[in-house]
Amino acid sequence: MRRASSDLLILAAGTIVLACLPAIASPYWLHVAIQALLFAYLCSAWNLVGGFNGALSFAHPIYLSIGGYMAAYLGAEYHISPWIGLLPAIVLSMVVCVCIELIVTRFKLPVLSYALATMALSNIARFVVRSIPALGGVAGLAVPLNAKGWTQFQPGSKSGFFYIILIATVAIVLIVIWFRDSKLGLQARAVRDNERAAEAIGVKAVMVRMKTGLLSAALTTFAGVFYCEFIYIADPITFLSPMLFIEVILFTAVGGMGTLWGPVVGALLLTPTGEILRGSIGATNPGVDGLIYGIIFVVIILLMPHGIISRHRGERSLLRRFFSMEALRPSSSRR
Amino acid sequence: MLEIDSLSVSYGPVEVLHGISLSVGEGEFVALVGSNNAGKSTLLLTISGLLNPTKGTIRFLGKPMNGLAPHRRVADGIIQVPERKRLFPRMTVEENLLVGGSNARAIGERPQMVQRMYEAFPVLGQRRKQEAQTLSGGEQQMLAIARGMMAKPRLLILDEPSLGLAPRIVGDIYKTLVALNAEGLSVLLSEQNARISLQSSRRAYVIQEGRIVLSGNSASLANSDEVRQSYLGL
Amino acid sequence: MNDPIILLQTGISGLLFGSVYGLIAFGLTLVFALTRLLNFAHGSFMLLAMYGSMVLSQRFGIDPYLSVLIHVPVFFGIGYLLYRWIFAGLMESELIVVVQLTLGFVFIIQSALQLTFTADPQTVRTFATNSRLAFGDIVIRTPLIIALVTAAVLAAALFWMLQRTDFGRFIRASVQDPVAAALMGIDVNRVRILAFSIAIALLGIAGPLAIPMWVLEPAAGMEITLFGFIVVVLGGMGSFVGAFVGGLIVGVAEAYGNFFLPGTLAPVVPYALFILMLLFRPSGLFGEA
Repeated sequence: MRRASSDLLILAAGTIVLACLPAIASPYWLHVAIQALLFAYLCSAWNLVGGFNGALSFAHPIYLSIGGYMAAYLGAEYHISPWIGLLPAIVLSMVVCVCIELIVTRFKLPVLSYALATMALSNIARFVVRSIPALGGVAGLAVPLNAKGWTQFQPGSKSGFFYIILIATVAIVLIVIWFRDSKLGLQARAVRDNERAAEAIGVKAVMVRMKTGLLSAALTTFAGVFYCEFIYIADPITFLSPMLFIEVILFTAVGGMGTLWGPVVGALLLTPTGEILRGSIGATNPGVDGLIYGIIFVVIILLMPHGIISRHRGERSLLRRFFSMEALRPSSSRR
Repeated sequence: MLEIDSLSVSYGPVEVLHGISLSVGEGEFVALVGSNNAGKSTLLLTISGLLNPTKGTIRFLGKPMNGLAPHRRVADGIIQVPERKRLFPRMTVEENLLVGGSNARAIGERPQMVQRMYEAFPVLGQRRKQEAQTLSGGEQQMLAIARGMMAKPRLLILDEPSLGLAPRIVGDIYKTLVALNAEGLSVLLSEQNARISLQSSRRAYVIQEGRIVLSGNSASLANSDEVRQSYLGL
Repeated sequence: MNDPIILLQTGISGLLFGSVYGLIAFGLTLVFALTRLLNFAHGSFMLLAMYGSMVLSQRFGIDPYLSVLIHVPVFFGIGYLLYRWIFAGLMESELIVVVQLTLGFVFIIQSALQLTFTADPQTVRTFATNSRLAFGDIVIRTPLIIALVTAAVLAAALFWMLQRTDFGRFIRASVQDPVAAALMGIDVNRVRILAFSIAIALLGIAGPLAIPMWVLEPAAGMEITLFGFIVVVLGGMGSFVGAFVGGLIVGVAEAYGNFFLPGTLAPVVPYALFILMLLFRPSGLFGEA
């Protein structure tokens, strides 16, 4: 398809540029780049479910933590390499995903209840995990000190981690390109836009949601393994607190839900922005950086409600709507 | 009293009413006849201000209505009993009436009006503390009309008042409407089933696919072949 | 450790906490039923009220309970402007846009609080902080009783408003059928903006009430909101009675959870209750399916 080939071109170009980064960037900026790519990865994974399938899921912290904790636990207890630990982690994530999907479908939860329920589940997971001493309790589970080398997912240098996440991000972009143009991707969007109509033409919404969810969960699990190895620890706050995961959702939304490049753009733009703010203003006045950050968010959302890369064409900015008569008309004027 | 001139209304990109012109004189009883999806409800909702026309004007008592919010039209005296009644289901009969009579013109006489409604519709008086959704179909339609009357209408609009009701009850309702009209209330109503609406009204319009195709004296329309075939089931 | 007196005391404390949850949930229900808007920043406003009381107490020596008098008009005004300028324009937007925007507000408020007050947890004292009241064998901390009594009075006042005043009827009518309400001459937009303002003003009251019972920290806003939503769904969306009863139930469940479970696990209980309710009765206790 014409679109895919131009996307592949962009991907190739971007990869080549980014691959040079470790050679020219300072350790600090390399660290920022790693985080930015990690967010790009996470946002793209979440976007499958949230953007393409329209399900506002707050369950992804659970998949993230399954990855992280499995890697740390198997590494600490059994000296199993995280690469190998990835497999049972993915399996477990997929099982959890299936359970959640079954419950949601069986009880036909509307969007709001689904979001709240998954948020509650993440919180429950957080409280449970932090109460289990074997998983490190409140402090979390650290990566064993003697884990070294690529086979143990410890490249020993920042650039090592950088290349891992770069390759992973390239891979996920390819996966999203495949997904977007595949039958599953089309079905996912159909279900998102009008479930009843989709069912009427034979699309089984349950299966579509399930498959999309499983893909997303599996991909997120890898990010969990990566992140745990990168920060040397898997802990309940970093991995399971809904407040921290919100950044993933916000970046995706600002970048543009349901598009290929939206999550990537959102993550690559906003992560360094946050870092720069934190580093410059935040160092002297902690809190101001968060304030400006939040204001930037709100302004972007008001100006581009559907994201920087919007899948809608020609929608009006919210600001323009506020100042029009339409804002004052009761919503009952629509039948 | 009500003058509609070349009104066009669209749902998004689709135009559903095309250049409608219609009028209701002071004290008149006018019927709007048309099948499902002909545009009756769209027209009535636009008159009440819940939909915006893309072209054309609506004037009430000489005053242009375009852009006026629904609650202001109520203040001017345009009251609608909507399709499927739309009572407040979990509010009592009495509460429905109270809400009906809460606009600025009506509120001064509200307690007396409530009493008059109970006298005119004894059933409602008996069920005054019951939730509206527990009433039977006919009782609900009566309540809907009473609620509309509470608002002291100058023009009472009814959207398919006979929908889903047994013939005898429909008869009662129309008797009430005719009586109200005789006292000076202007009435505009829409129906699919033309028979009784043509019997009770003085003038009528026939609407089809968003256009007025026939208009005139109700009695002569009732005798016309077209109407008899399409709308009277003959 | 299963001394019946202690069990009873725990339950009663739970009720008292729950009454504050009920107030929060009532406001959320009011907003959601009328506007279908999900304000994720709801809890953040309550946090603002709490910090506001702290400032008034530390700078001007005004007891947090008295600060309610200042909060009510201020927060009513904040709610009014917020709805008029921002939320009114969101009525037709997709859920995700509203979520994004309000999450953005959560960020802003959290950062502003952190900036002004640091991220350290704080406590605020009131005249009643250390006193207790005894009813026979049962001893309850006074702030909890004040909270319950105030919440109960407020609840009664709110229900009276809903049932017996025209404005209350307008609210219920606009919730049950906004089209019919407009046709009866109700200015539905005005009802919405006033109701939203009331909901935020209620947070201005709930904040000071909760101060003696909670520790203040800037990050708590989201958790309060989530709790509020849990109570709303538990009680039944759109049911005002459900909001209060749901609050009481969550309060009691939380109290017993804290009693029986270890500290790190205890907060699970309300969330678990929420999930169970969603599974077995998605419409909530008093909700219409």
